[in-house]
Amino acid sequence: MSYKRIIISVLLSMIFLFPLYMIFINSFKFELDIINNPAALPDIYTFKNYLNIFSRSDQLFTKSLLNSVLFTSLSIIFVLILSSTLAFSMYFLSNRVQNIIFIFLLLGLILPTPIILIPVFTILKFFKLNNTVVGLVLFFSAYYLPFGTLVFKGFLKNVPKEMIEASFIDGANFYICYYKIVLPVMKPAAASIIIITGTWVWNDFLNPLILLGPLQGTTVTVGLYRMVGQYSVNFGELFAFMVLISLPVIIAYLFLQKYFIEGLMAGSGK
Amino acid sequence: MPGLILFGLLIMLPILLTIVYSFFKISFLTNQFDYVGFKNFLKLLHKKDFYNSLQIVLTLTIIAVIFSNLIGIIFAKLFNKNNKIFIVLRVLIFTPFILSPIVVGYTFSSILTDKGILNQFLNFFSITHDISWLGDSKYALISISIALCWQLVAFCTVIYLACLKNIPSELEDAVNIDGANNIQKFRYLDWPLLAPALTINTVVILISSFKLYDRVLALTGGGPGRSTETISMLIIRTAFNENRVGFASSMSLILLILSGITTFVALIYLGKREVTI
Amino acid sequence: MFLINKLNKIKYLISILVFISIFPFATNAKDQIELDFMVFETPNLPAEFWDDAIARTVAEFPEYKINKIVPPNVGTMGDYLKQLQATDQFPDVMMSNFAVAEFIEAGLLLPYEDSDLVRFVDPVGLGLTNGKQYALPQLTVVESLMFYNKDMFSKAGISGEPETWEQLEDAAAKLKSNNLTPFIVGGAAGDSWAAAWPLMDLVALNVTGKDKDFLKNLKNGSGDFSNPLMEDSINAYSDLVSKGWTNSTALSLNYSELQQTFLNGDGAMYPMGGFFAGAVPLDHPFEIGVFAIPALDGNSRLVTYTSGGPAVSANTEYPEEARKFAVEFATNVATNADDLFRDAHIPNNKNFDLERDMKGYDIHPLIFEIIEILQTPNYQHVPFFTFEVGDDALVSGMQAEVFANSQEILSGKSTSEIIENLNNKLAELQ
Repeated sequence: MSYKRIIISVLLSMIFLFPLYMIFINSFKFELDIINNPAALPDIYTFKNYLNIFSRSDQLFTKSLLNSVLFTSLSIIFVLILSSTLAFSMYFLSNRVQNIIFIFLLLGLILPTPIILIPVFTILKFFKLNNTVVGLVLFFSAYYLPFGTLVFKGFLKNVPKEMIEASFIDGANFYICYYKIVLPVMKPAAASIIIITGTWVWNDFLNPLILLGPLQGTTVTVGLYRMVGQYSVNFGELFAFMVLISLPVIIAYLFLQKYFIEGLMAGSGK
Repeated sequence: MPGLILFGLLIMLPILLTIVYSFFKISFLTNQFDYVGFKNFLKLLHKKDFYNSLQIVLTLTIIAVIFSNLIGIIFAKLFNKNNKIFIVLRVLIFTPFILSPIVVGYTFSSILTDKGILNQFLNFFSITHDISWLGDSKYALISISIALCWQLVAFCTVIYLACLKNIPSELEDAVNIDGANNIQKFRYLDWPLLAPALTINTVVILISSFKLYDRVLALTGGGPGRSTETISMLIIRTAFNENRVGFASSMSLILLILSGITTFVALIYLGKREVTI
Repeated sequence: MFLINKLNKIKYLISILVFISIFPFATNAKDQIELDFMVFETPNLPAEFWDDAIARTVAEFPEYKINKIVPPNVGTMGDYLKQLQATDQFPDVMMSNFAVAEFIEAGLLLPYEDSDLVRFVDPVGLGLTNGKQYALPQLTVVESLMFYNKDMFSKAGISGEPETWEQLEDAAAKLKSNNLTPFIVGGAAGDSWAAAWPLMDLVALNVTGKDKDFLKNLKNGSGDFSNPLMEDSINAYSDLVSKGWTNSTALSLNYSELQQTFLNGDGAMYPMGGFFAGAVPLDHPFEIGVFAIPALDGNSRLVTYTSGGPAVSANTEYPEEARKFAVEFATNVATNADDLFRDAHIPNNKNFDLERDMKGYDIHPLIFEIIEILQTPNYQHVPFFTFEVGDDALVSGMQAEVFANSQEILSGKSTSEIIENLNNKLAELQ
């Protein structure tokens, strides 16, 4: 019984995860080998595909990597600061106001971005922030604020109200209380938000394509799109590029997977 | 609360502007900005492409809700054992979800092309012969739903697993003593307790289906013809490539209302269900 | 008071962010003329070609600093430019192999002066708009060409190159009865332009090249696509599909796969522009021939495109300098030669001499055959459908619809459905 279950599970997982295996294994193959035996292990392993990506004359990979690292980290920092303070401030509001804010946040959470992309651009242009990393970071911060806030609120529930009230009686102000009581509890929440919003921002394609544009350089996902669009696709390089841009999120996930799932549960379970 | 101001400025205000824009004829090419009343919406009533996209998105949504949940539950039930192998599987199974949709799109496009691995496999076992998974409009939508469900199954499985973990073992023992068979056990023990997970999963699936863009772009580009063009693609095309910003906004508004209503109805209905069972 | 305090804090945060994100890019000497230049990349014209070409011009005129921009996909270059325009990033100079008419109409392009055009053999090319040229006629591409596999033709017992549409159909029937795929066509996803190629040729040869009023009537609203000539042209394309003369893979091939399919010998004929000749290796295993696609009515017409050089943005900071750069770039003899070698782009430059300037290159004989076809005296040259400029331009925004509907033709939609789609779009745009 137990063995049967293991065998079935492993088999199903292998089928399910086959695409991952395929990207990885084919990134080490020569072009002809990929076309003829896409599923087999390579006859000869080669790092040529990876070397080619790093030695592209337009530095597509290195430039887009730097860009993505820059605005992903900035977005994470902003989401963390903004959503933790918002979650904590909501603590002091009446239930009705809290509910109103909550409904708006929920609306933001389910909003498909293509709907607002045009006006977002107009607004960023008004502040002269169009086509800048800042503009994109601000948009991401606003877009992922509802998620961050909901996760933080979920974790804040575990802080006894008396504790916060007691600290205010002791003469602490908002910031001291935030610093002393809230921040420590928020560590796991922060870990969740870092990994989840980080992944989302890193993986996003449409928003950077439109809001950032070509002059500021591309992001990893837009770089991938450009690479496929321009050339007769060299599959080996394509797979290698995909491995390289997925590796950071996969590694982050493997190390922080506990927080990933906790965060998703906390964020979606209200 | 600076966060709220930023949120208002870059999320709520744009929604308002979308509503305003949908009553104007706007072109960025010629800097046109004319009030046209409900004309955009009247035009929308006759736009075949819009109905087409609507149908595509609804079909994909229904497929995704059913299959992702179903396969997710099966995987979750299978993997819900504290054995080293299953712990590893539980970690691995989630990886598709954290990949970029555009990466997923290109991955599946290399699997599904005419000479790709899927056709090689099917031909080898003579199941089918040379189906054009991406080039034939009959199959293109199926191909997209496969790529979509692949990521969503990963998500659903993990959420169901997290929920199954919370089922107290005494309950399970009690049911076992009662001599219930597996189907009864699932129906009366797991299914009700999985209700919160079902809510989360369904809502996440709805959200992802409504904004579907990257995967389709990578897989079929909306083609052949317009046979896989989602609403998001239609909106972006109308707004940026045809420079009809007002018209695109009217579509956006419909999509917003549609996704809003569907998601909230799902939330309320499934939420109520959680309480009653 | 509370709110102002908060606003100040936001301003503070924003300025920190501005600072952080600006400093990596904060090296900008202002003594140079900096131009954003959009080029396009294809398998024949990869990044090196453009880098070399830009470097040649910059070497002669070191005052220029050129930022190369590349659209994600060559077929959607016009779409991408519109997106850049909508997001305030319209480049200063752009290669013009997209439908320029709508950009001229919207006032986005700067007209060239007559003095800019003196170096070109044919300064008019595709045409003028209100007497002005907006895109340099840098090169000529012969668009209505049929490349064919000589081995397959002889295997099927086809003696000469087809000169009429009937002969072409006879040849196809013979090939089919010998179990050979007569035509390789297609273009998936972003490469729908490739799927549209045969249609654009057929319409140019048999509708817009024949009935001079067709496009005018579309524009002033007195006509639409329900036109017998148009129906015949679409039928001619869809017949190839319904008779089983085309490859079944049509809609799953991207452009480079499409080209490779023909080069692999999977089909006998390949309708494409002259630039395909640039992709044929000199030592290709089978011999490839080329002839002009015949018109349905038996007249001798040839679809040509003389344009493709840089266009300049009307809103550029340096109009004079941008025009000068464009002219120098388009008439650089070494660049012209490289372009002819790689992409069979026939230079339209008075200073270019085929024998003298191509000395170092091993040019494929196909390219000479194409030049010969172009110089055949009895052909009436007609402009390429959807790329027209001036009064004869197609209604703005129709090109994408033609592209998408060509995929529909390949997937078996009926001619009446296609015409209905085109008419709907036309009505929507008017």
